[in-house]
Amino acid sequence: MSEITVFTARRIITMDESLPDATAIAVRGDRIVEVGTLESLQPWLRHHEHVVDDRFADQVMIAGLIDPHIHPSLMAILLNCDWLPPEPWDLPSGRVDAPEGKDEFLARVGDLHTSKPANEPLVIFGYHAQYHGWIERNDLDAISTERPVVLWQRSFHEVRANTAALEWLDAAEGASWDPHIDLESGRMYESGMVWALRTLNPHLLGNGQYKSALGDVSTLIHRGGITSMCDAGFGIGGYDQDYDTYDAVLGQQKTPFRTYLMPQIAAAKGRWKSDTLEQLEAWAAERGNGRISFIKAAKILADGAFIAQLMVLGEPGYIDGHQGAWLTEPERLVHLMQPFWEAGYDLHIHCNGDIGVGASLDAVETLLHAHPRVDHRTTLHHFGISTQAQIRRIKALGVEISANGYYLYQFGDRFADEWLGTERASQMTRLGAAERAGVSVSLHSDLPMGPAAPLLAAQACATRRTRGGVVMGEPERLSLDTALRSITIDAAYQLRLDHEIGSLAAGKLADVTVLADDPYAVGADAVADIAVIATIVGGEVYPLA
Amino acid sequence: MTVLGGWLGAGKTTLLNRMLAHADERIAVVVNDIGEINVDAALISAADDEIVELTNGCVCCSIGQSLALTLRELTLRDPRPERIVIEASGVADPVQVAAYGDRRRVPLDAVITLADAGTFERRARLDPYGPLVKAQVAGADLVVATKLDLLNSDAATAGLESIRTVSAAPVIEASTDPEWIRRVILGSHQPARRVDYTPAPPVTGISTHTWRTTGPVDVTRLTAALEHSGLLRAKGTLTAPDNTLLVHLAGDRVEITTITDHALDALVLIGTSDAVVTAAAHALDRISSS
Repeated sequence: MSEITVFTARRIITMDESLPDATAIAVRGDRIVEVGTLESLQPWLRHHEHVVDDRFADQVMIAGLIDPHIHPSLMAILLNCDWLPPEPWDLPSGRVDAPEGKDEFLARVGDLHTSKPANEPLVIFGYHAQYHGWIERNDLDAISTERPVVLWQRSFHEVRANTAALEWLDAAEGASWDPHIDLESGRMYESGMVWALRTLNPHLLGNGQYKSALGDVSTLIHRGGITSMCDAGFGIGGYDQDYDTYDAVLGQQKTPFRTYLMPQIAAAKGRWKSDTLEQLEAWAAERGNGRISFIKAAKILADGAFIAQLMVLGEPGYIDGHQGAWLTEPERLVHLMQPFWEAGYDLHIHCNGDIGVGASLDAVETLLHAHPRVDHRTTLHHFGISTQAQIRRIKALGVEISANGYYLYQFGDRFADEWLGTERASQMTRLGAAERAGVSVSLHSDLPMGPAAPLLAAQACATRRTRGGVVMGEPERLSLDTALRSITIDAAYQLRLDHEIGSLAAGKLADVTVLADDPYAVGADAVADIAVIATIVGGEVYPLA
Repeated sequence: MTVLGGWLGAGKTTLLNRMLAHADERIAVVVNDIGEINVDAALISAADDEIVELTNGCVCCSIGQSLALTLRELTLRDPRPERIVIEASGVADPVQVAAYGDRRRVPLDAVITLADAGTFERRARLDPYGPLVKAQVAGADLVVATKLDLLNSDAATAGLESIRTVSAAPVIEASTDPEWIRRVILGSHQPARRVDYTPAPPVTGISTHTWRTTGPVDVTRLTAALEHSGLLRAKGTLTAPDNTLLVHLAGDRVEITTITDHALDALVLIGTSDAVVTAAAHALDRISSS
């Protein structure tokens, strides 16, 4: 076996400003020896045995794509459900088309009912009232009075159940404790959802189903051309159960991507109630392997979810007047972040509404005054609704943005109509302003909130064209170059991994995504149509079927 | 259950600590973060990461996955807590938390909101949280003005006035007197049976009176007499024509339920002054004499 392998390509997009373009890359072990051309590589090749692997000679290589915010454990649960989402999805089991309207949705529920073995519970993910109309207990009883039928809302915060499912979920007992369980309509939401999960979790994850579903999640991540991903909220399914399952599936040498784990602070406090940071560090120190590593970063959640429209908005609020919700109240953000901040952790804050963004920035400012740090790389995640003033403040505080690349693409027009109005909806994920201000931007899927498809995220943010074909908020487009940086080197920077991954240069890990075409040549409008041919991780080739 | 609301810094943690120390019944306190409660070490009999147990039988725990599950676990404890006090988060509307008490398992005692008299007026004006600051006070059954001792008398009067313009419920001044905590905040003062009757000890800032009757009372007229009486607390059992009434008043909230026990035919009335309590007693006299 040769010491050095040289991969050649039509074009290699290195994402390294010092040598942006190449056609050959030499790899030894899991690291890059040199990037350039077959000619420029000669000083190395003259002195070392090598082979040239030209199977990708007609293809385009780009630095391995990075998704800095994925929830593998959540996606694993959902892959054990049937899917009827408001947008089409490519799942390991095949493509799922989106039902339109209440009649079609209920007809599809009926089809699933008749195709399943009798009386096995039917748990369906993806219901969204804005797309599928108002559906409650009696609609589902019309489908079956015998089989438990549960609709799990697209935003995760709620299930709707038929009579048999209410019995299965022990909902009558739950309703005597929890105001968020309504037996009449079959709705179990917010804390009522926690009650439902007591039954749903073991049903969906028991009997080895977690492991097999995580294998399917791994397939989806590979298909997206992702060579490194971060579980930005590790521990939400339970630190021990999640780690052991990840280790058995994602930790294998044959897994076609690297997994980085960013502990979620609230989940860590649930697991280790006192001396949380010390106990978490001691626990993590005994874990990790070649494919899975812990990073010195921690995740915290400020205001509510975007898809559920529970983000906290300032004036003029939501069109229908409803209120957002806090996941961590502003005053507790600082309290929870402080020990991690002082220990040198990078804080990654989930925030969606402009008030959530403001509270997050307030917390950073407080911590900067109390315990000054340089190069803190605090990152705001999702970044639904913001203001120009906040972009200036983000710049001033040295904060970075990791945006959900799909909000505008999937929900932009619909959310304008019913919740946000045109101006604010058009300016959601305000990234053009961030680029102009020189603020670091990365893009993520938040899988299962969006599909693990970085090229689609890049296209969506570089064009601001929705799935329905409408362009919204053109001035907030990213340049194509920045969009590609945001799924490679800038994502690596925010995770403090840019010395290892995110670009192709001598000494870095040999992680490459092989594409059928050149993103710069096809242009922003067609980036998502480019097929992913293979990924290379640590020099190993993982072809896509 | 009792819900304790109020903005950050209003004094919720301080009051919760006093409640744990001075309660004369087994209370369970549910807080956002158990690490933020500094229970006097001398009072702790057992503690782990989940729950702190006190020598007086009280416990303190944090809200776990959901308040409903926490409430359920607390009521399954042996011995079962006689009262559950829930600390609403500083940016929550305590009325929404109180919805958990509208379920049949843990009836609601009162929503008590603390308001910092020195900062309330300014906070209520400020975006973006002003509306919430006001809602916390407007939705309460009883409002406790705190930090008055940090203000000169003009500022204290102005502070109280700013809270009163928002609150329809009685607004009272915070006290450190253990008996005040038991009677006003916990409302745990019970009418004594005639045989062991001893007058309640005086407490600065409140007035207590035991109102007794002999005949049956009419529920509608009783409710009318208690509503808007200005009383902070009223508690007792009365005879009605067909059954026994359990009467419970906490500020703005009057709850009258029927029970099977024999009535004591007495109500303990607690108010801010003798005048308020006497007026309430006279109103009650009128309904039982006619």
